[in-house]
Amino acid sequence: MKPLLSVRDLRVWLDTARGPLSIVDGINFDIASGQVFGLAGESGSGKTITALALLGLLPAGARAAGSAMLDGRDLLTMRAAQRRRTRGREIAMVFQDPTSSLHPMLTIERQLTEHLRYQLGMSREEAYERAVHLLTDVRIPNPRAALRGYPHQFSGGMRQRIQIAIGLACEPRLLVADEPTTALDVTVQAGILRLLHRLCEEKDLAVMLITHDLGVLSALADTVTVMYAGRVVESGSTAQVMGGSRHPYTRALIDSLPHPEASDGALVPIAGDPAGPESRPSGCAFHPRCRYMEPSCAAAVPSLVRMDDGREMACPLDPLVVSRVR
Amino acid sequence: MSLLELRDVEVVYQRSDGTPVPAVVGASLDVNRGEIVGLVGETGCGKSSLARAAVGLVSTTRGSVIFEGREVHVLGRRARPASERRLQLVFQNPYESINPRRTVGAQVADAFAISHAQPRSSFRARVEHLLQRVGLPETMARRFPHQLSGGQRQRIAIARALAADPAMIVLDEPLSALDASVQAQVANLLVELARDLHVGMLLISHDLAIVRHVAHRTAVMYLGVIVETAPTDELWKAPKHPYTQALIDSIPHADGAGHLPVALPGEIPDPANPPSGCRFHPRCPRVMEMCRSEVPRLVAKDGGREVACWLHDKPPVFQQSADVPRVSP
Amino acid sequence: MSVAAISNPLASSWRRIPGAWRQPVTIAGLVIAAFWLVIALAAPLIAPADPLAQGAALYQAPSAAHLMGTDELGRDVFSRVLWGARISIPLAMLLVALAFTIGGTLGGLAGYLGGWVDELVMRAADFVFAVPTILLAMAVVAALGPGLFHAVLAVVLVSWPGHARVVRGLVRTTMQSEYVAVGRLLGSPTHRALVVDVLPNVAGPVIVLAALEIGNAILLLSALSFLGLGARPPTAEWGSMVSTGAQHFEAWWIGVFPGIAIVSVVLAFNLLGDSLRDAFDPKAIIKARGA
Repeated sequence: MKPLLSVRDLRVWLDTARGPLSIVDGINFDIASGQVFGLAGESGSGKTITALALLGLLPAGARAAGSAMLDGRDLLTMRAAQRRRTRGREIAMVFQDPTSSLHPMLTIERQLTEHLRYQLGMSREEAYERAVHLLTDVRIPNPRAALRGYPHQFSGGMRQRIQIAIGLACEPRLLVADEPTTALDVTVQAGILRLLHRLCEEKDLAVMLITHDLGVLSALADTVTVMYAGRVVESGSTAQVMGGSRHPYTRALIDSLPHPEASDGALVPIAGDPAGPESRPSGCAFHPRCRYMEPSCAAAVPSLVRMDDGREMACPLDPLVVSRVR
Repeated sequence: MSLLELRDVEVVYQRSDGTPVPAVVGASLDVNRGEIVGLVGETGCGKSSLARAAVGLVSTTRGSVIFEGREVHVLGRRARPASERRLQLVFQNPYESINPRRTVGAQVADAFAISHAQPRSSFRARVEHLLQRVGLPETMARRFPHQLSGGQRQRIAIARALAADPAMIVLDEPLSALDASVQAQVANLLVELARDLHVGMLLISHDLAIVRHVAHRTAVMYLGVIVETAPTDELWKAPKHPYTQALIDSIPHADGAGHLPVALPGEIPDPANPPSGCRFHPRCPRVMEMCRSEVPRLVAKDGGREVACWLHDKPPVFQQSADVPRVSP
Repeated sequence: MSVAAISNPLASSWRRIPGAWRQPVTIAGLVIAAFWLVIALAAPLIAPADPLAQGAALYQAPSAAHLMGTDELGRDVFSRVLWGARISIPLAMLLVALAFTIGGTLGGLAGYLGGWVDELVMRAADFVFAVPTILLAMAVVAALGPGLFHAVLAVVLVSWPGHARVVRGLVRTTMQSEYVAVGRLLGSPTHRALVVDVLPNVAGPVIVLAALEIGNAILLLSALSFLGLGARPPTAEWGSMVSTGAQHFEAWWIGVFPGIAIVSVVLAFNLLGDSLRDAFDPKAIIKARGA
């Protein structure tokens, strides 16, 4: 089936006084309709910048190259007018901090109906009814009363639901969610994850879920792509990547997390700090921290290789060597 | 006698419009030498306020904070008494708790400089020793904070506290601002330090999972009240309080199995306007009639456990005589 | 990790100065300021004539003998411009030092002690801010009597609130920071926190303000002299020279050259102040190459 979004060789770099600084170094992925695509990575991995590039929201001084085909149109080379139409209608974004992404001085009604009236040309009454419907969809109690309210009157979880409602207002095909639950309590997070799951199923919505939280990905994502220092290191179904990864970084990351079963013994950390754009090692970016490192790892950037079971991995080592620590 | 004793501590702060918000209501907790006690809870549970009250950064409106047998003073204009300097606090955000304009070595040496106990010439060696202790290279002493990563900065914050030769360290969400792979490093360091230096630690966190690996005992807070305390393993294997169970159930597991965590209905109420009776009752899956009106007491159970829940307590018998105290809401 | 943080991480001010000084704007400011400082020092050696000597012909246009011509009393304008630097620049620096000392101390006390001290200082500052600067300065000089010394006092009086406000804000913010709390928990008395934690944070912005204020001070002094309230004749002060020049429009060189001198000195210190501000600013944004 033809994918909804097809990204090929996406590169993002920053123009600095010391020359171009590569932040995303040529990544590829596909997202199908109704699929939750997980993009995993720590700080410096470039996952957020990838999302910003797709939406045309790169900060000043950053440039993108490559292609991102959404239904036959390249998101990266769109003109401003077309981009404005695409954002909201085809592709929408939900950010991490609902406090700063909602306008503190506009009512919820205003913030919800604004898009409806601008993008879809609805009248005030039509937009209002649709807003009520949207809030009901995201399970906000008393939608009509809520519309009259201001963001500060709602809790973090509620604000995140409102943000999702705003994102879904014009029925986009793809929702990009950047760390949507990181700032929320774990019990509230569970509610948002269930909400996203339901919306995905009901509306055939594709979701690009960007997070460092592997637990969240495991619960919600259908496929997971793991990024490190601007490159994809592994990609496959959630069960493959999280249930039985053979990539040293993914493996090490999962092993460093508190495991529900193994409560005894210390956690197994990864030595050093995550590599960022300014400190990207030569060859395989993870090699200085990798327990299986060999001298050849520093020489060349490993390419993403497709395995028999459909997953992709960028590590030249024999997968059998990378065994479970626990 | 425990190293740190919190007894019926109440912390109230004022909102900008003047309404008093009881952040902590009647919390009691003990920490012993060499023991790590985890305090977990979500937003609005008051754990940060309790942490600050425990070291004297904020005052308590009721209850007592006793450290090494002596009452802890609230920090005012005067310098903190020497006896209390062995009670330290590590803040959550390593980007804000370290002065960007001083070298990290100078900041680690602050405790030495303040105590005047030993000559300046000894500082360098002692700072290097401390840096080693927290797993940082000695050469780092000359660097400025912006040259360090988040994990390194948090280690500096810990080294700084260690310089005061503490008997007890309170850590307010020390891992939250760090990357996942780095959290494990610092968590292991804390366990090591508690064991090797025989330091007691009160570890505040919203992350129940990582506290599990670090703390010997865990206390769970909800809306200003400690609802359960138990040895960590026991808490996970057999939680007694429904909120603890809900917290455990809502943690997503990174196993690729695709299970959606269980969501707790409702919202955390406004601390200024808590529900009557048991504060958790509007959201509790096992709520009983009495929970709505009677505030549960923290009751000791076998195995060093405590829980405040009517499921595990006999209801007070109401008699006509006036000398039976009524449980106040 | 934000993109901005990648390209210009939070920096220790001193390490960042070398980079910032490579900017053309900074270099220009430095060069011009240095130039004038040298002139101020070396004027007696460089000036071809005594600034007060009235020997030459009156109203002579600029020529080889008199590079900037002669004024209405036959004095060499070039020499007077050079000697003017010896008045304006050192006085401005003295002035800023005084304003900074008085304002900084008052602001520091206000920020540190709070309460009625804070109220008092800030209301006094508000009063000064409420009145247009030049008018207030004029009023002070009028009260004290014209003269360069009184003009300096007047400018100090109108300048101290700016310093006070900056220092107060910084002291307050820093005292509430977490690292000061850490220090207090370690047993540091509050006065140690002032020296060890507050001072390094205050130093940067205060230096920037001082640099910018020098330019301001020169302008104010010249303005007061222009109005006849500052330097008295026959002192070679730029402001009063411009004033004379305004009365003798056809002999344009009498006023224009001192005017250019004022402009260039003020510009130099403003550029310097701006560059210092960028150098000390830890949140400097990305500067795209060449932009």
